Amino acid sequence: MTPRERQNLTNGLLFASPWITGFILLTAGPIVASLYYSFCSYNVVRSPVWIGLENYRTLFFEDPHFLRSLYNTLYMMVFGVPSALALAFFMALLLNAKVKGLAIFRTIYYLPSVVPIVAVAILWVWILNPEYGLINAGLALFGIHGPGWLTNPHWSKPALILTNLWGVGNIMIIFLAGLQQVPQALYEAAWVDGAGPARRMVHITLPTISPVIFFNLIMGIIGSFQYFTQVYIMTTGISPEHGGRAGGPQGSTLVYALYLYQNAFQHFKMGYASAMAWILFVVTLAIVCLVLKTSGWVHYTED
Amino acid sequence: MMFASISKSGPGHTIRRRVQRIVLAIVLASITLASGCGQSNPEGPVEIVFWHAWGGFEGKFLEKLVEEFNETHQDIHVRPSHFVIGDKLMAAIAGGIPPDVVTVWDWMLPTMGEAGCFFPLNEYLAAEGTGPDDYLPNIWEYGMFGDSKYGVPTALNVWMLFYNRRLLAEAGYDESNLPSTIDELRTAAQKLTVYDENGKLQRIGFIPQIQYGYMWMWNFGGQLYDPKTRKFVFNSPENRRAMEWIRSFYKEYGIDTYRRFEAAFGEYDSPNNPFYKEKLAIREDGQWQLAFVQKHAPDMEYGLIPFVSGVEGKKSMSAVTGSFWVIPTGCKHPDQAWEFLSWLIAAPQSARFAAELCNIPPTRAALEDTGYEKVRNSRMKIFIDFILEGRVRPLPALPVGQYFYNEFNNISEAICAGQVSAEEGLQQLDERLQNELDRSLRHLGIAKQES
Repeated sequence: MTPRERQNLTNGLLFASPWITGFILLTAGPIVASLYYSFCSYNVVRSPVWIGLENYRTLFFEDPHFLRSLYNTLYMMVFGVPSALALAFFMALLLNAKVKGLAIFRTIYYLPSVVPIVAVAILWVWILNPEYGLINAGLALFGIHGPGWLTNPHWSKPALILTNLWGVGNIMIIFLAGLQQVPQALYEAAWVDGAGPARRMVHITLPTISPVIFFNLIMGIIGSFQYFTQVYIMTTGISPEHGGRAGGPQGSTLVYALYLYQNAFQHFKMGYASAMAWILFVVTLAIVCLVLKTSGWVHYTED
Repeated sequence: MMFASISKSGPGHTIRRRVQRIVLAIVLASITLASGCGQSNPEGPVEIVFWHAWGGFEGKFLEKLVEEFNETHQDIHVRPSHFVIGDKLMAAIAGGIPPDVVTVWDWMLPTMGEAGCFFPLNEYLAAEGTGPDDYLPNIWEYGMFGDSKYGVPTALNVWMLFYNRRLLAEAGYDESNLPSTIDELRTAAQKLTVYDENGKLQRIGFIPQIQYGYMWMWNFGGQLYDPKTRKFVFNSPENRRAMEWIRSFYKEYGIDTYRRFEAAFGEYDSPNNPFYKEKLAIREDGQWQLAFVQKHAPDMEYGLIPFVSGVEGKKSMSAVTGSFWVIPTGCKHPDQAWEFLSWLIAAPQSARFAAELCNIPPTRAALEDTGYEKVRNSRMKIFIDFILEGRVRPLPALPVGQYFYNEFNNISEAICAGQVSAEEGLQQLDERLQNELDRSLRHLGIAKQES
């Protein structure tokens, strides 16, 4: 390394130092600490006490809500991520068509993603209201007696997935960018060969943007494991004294992150919650690795 | 300046550049780490930060009381602010910058107290000569898990059955024939429930709310927990009968139908409260409802049923709930904090505060105080008598308060939805709570030994 390079490196590090300091103190530090706490009984106020594997043992063998919350989260992932990708892709296709007023349509479809997540959640509580809600009013026009979306344990998770579909604008934008990268020459060649729209889609569009689909899939999986805000707001009941309980009805929306939060900040079991966080990390890692392993369908075009 | 010096690299500049860089780094780092530490002036009065949980007219009145204190106490200045009881307090205590006096819910008191969040007030209370006899019956023990008194009650709430006088009159009820047994209440509920021509629920006569099911367990003669042996005793014949009775309501209306009906209820603290809107004819509620009705539905005529007992010859029971004032550990001026708190809970202040909130003051002296006289002789009398006759109970004080509350709800919900039988459910409840309590006590024991 020449003195000049070393100088540049030092200067660069110095300018990045606020971020580096913040990262070490506020992110990396707590992450490492949480691994230690996961083997402790720790309530934040008293100093942590080493209890070995007890937190993990309790989670796997005694806690009835742990597996349920994992199930609820996996449910949200298995049904929520593909439907969000499909809808976003469909919308991106429409918005990639050459029609008049394209900019306006794009704005309109992206708009919901700009609304703060808390506002969206509160809005959807009303849209999903079984008696006064828009959705059930719409269903009633067709003579369908709509379900009690958030009040019925069989419908509560689909209701949350439906809510999430409203905010797929971000995924849609990425798809749209991907679609615009597809070389026109390929379409023209296919057209000359007599390929119809369906074949062009299957043999050109999908393979070319498969890295984008893959990216969105991975991000969607990670996002679904962290899913918290909407469910916390939408399932908190109204109770005059105790401030309501999230995760209902009958625990059907107790997702992993919500249960982790309850343990950490309501039951003051920070060590237990840390153990949950590390299990979540391992599960996420495993699923992402699995997806990576089976990513033979992703085509990368060489430049 | 900085950029100019980077391009030069003569040896004479090196040290100055180093210094400049270090200064810059320190400045940037301190910006990232900057925190709003308060300054305290050693000459002026001691500042006491007071977080209370009351908004609206209640909060305004409390802050007026604080002003009075500040005017009469030159060496202490109390700064009140309203906060929503929640994570914020735990974060402040863990971060070492707690408020000096703060409000917490009753179930949080032993949970956070045993966790080491609050100063035990035993010595302060003893120094003032305050003891169990100064409080209303059973109120001294309220919120105590072991021997430590981690807080003092702010004001008490007692529960009753509120009924809509007009609707009950329509169904043929008046003061003389109000439901007075479990079966009569059940019949009244059926009589008062209304469906429209499509079979859709329009009004519910009465339905026991799942989260308050323990009140009915007491009325059926059951117990929840034995503080002497520290064992949960939910699975008893009395409690099974109570749960089956509660479940019968949800079975009759259908739990799904009921929840849909409930989802359309208006906000509790508003004129759209389902009780004012005649969606519920009889409802379990606290005495603050006396003030709420006056505020939101002044024309409404309502009456009170002092609960009904499920055991022949036994008097009905009710619940007492409320909040506590505590001094968090890590508070810089516990003595001054106590001086303020002691003033606030003294009879004249406590009486006026409880009167304004339509609550019940926790001490005998405050109850007898002239500041409370008007309220004592109003419709509040029945609530106060319940306490004085020892007919109210608090939920058990536990180091696992929120867990208890969550699990009670989970299992009661499962029983009412027919997922488990009352017996299975209560058995599960006992096991889960016992496991959690034992585990928590074991961990607390180790933590106390080590520190």
